[in-house]
Amino acid sequence: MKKQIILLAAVLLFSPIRVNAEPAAVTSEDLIDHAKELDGQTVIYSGEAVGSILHRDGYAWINLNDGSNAIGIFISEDMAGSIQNLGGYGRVGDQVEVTGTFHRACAEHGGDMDIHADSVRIVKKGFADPEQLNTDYLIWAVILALGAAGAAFIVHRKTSMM
Amino acid sequence: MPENKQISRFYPICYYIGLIILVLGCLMIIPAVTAVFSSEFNIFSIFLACASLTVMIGLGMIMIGCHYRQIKLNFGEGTIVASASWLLGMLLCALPYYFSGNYGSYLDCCFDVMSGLTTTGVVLIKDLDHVSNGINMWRHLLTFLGGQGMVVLALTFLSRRYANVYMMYVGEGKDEKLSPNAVTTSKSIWKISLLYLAIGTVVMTVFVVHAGMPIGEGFLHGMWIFMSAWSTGGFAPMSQNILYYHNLGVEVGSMIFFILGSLNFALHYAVLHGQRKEIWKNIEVVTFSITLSVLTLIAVSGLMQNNVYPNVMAMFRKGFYLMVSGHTTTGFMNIYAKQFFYEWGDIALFALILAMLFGGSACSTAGGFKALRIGIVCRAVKAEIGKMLIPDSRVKTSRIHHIKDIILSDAMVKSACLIIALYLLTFAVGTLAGMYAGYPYMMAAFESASVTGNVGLSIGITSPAMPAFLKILYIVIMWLGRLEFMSVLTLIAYVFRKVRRA
Repeated sequence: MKKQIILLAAVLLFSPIRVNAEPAAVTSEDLIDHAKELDGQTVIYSGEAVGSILHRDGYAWINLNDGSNAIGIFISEDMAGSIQNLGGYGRVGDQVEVTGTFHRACAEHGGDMDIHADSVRIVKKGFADPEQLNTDYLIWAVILALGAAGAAFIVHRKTSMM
Repeated sequence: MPENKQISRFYPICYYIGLIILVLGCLMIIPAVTAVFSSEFNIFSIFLACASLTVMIGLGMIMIGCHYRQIKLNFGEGTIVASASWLLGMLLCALPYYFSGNYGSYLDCCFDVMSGLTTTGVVLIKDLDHVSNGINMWRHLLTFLGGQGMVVLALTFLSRRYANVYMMYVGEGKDEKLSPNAVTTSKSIWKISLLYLAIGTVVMTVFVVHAGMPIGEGFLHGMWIFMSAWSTGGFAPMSQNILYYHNLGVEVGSMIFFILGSLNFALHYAVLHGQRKEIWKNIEVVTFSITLSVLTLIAVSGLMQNNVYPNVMAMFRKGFYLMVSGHTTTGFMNIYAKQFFYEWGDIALFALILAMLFGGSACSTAGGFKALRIGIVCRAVKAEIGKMLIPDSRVKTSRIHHIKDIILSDAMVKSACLIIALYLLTFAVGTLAGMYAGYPYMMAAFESASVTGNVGLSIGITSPAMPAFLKILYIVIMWLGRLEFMSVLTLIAYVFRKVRRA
């Protein structure tokens, strides 16, 4: 019996058939630096949704920036609908976590490095972060603009007298 | 007028630099207006303040030199005006970047301005995905302006009575005369560029909107991508560059425009005036087609050897696109910088480095050796071999076809070889500096070729974290490469002479 258990353990250990492990959480740096190793694997990637949702016939592209790089995510329209806020100037986008298949050079999408998402989860809602008007900048701008107008007047008079 | 000849030379130089600075200051109004329309009022204030300051400096220089503006400048002084304008222009155009808070230091701002003006396209900007429309407009406007030439722009506002303008025009790395004088040539260059701007903005907006962007934002992206493509610049409004759009149409559209931008303005002018056969006969087009074909074959063989791309479409959209982007010195990217290093392999990188050094056409928005010089050198080699096979008593002349048939002279060959040698020397210095900074040889050579040829493709060296000495060196290399050495070297010699006499 003991021998049989050891044999079974050895078979399981060296067997090419593996029980699927939990998908690994990765960063954009991991994806770019270890693209060959991660190609075709299921990964968990999260980042801020930036720019626009690019709609394509029932699917969409979103780009998630994790602070180092933005990675393109190919998702269904339904999943895209859950993303409400997109990052840009004065806007912080939704923090989105996707689980999906990573492609080093996607055959379906012209060799793009991308993730085809199986699921999408909003980790943190984005929000508007409008700029606060800086009155110092405005005052300096007005003073300098008046100075430039005065200088233009003086130079114009001087050159027209020549 | 001062008696001293050397002092009197300073004043007209000062006057013309002032004019160019004045034009740059006025241009800052365009991003200021963009900022207002985008409700970016701090950015508007920054641009208004910087525009006013730049205009005041320009006017001050005009005032100092206006009594001496009719003094005829010699060739060297014309080139000093061009190179000094680029240097001072860089320092002033960097001010809006600095106050916007998108950069780590003023040096980084200067780096990005020089990268834009020289149509290189490598960037040190932080968090590009959250940058305002005003700053993005300024980035792309700088690259569009740099492509045509800031001196060329200033010349379009000058009257023909100034005899000095041709010297400055040549000093900016352009020497083709589309019409009898430099002012009308400058105007022709801007007419051609603005015609393409109108067409290109519409076309690229259609592609970008088709890629899924909303129409308002799509218009800005379309215009910026066109400006960058036509100027062979390589800037894009998002951190992923062209990869952001994940779209074949955007890639093909941008490729058409950056190929057009890399062609000689004289060729555009000839074709627009009915000389359509010129496209097939022109030495630059022929040379560019041959070098692009050969280098693409080498790159594709290298990529196939490493199984980098899974099918023909991927090979076209990545391998071919990046080869054309590099050869036209555009620098648009649709892969991540480090993918070059990790995936492309030495053969493909070797081909891409050569393509970046070769560059596009002379008197275009492109950088690099230029197809005209490569064509001249190849024809000279062929002529020399031909001479060995004929009796000494026979004299055989060689010709090239560039708008018209031109007899190949020793002076042309010497000039072409000299400039190519200077490019190679600069490339070697840039590579060595990269290795001193701790990067592997292939990375250092790739990035050096990119900045020397004013390309903009990056293998991952260019980042805000790279050493300050490398940033400064790359700024100088971009400046040297864009003005084709002589203007900058003349300015350096002029400053040394002044310092020694002082």
